[in-house]
Amino acid sequence: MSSNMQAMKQMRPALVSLTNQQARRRCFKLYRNCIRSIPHLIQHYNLSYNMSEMRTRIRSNFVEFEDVKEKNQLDRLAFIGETELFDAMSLLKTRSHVVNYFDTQPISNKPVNETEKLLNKFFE
Amino acid sequence: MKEYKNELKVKVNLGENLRMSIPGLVKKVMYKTKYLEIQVEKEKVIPVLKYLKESSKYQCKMLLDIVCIDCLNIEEIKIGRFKIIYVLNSIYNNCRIHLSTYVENNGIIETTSSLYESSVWLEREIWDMFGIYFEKHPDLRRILTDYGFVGYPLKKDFPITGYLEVYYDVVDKKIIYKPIELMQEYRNYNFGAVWGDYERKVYLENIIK
Repeated sequence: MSSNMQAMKQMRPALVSLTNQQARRRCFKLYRNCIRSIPHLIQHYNLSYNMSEMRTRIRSNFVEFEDVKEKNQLDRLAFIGETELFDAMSLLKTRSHVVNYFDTQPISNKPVNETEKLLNKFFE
Repeated sequence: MKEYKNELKVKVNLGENLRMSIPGLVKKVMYKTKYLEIQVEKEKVIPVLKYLKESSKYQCKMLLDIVCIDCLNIEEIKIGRFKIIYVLNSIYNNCRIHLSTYVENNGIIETTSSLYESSVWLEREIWDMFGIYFEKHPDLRRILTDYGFVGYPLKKDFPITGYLEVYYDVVDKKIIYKPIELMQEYRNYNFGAVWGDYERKVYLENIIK
């Protein structure tokens, strides 16, 4: 685990993946690192969340961009994620930054059903 | 007058030579009063910059600045969202050359740090302010904004109030960041109207009548 922590904390230059497969693997690696960092985040920032809650919050952020297939865009998003994780793990962020992240829900871009749309507007 | 003519002659000479020597790479050459502007595709920035730096006729060995313009709400958005201008200086010719390209929103462009050392910080600033990703950049980090800052502040669609509110909590003795809550909805003003625009319109209408 300690070696993995080192890897997480290491700052990565803006690397370029050669193939689409490589970019995908980079994203999966980032996802795994994020999930593994949860106990450390709880310990460092004194968080009072359920572990599974935090996991679903992180997962939803990845699901948000599941439509992205382009290699360069995957690289860009992975780089943003890596820097965010790096900032959080090396205590550059404050507690309120991390709490804000886990408090807010990401906006879902998925199309809503006709019936759901109707029900949402029921009282208007 | 004579000096000005000489300068113009040098610029036209340089521009025409560029057109002849690398015909496929240059999209457009424009002659301005103080500088020479060259427009290229974003994939061809590196070869053109390399040519400008290393050919004996140009010798643009200084990169003074990299400027980025958000083209939202202006005509140039048809070509691309952001315009990036590399300001080069050639001491040999006593001339400045602007190399411009267009990049789309959340775009990606290759770094020029292998050619010009000074572009490392300049590109970091553009990444921080506009969110343009420079691939192969050796050290792409924040440079001006705080850790955990949300959004890119120089984009035109970034709200003036920002996304986060910062205050000092007396009880916790800490600085707290929380999502901003406004007492009333942010008003959208009509920025298209310039001072005296309405009066001018009325005046012109009266004349036509």
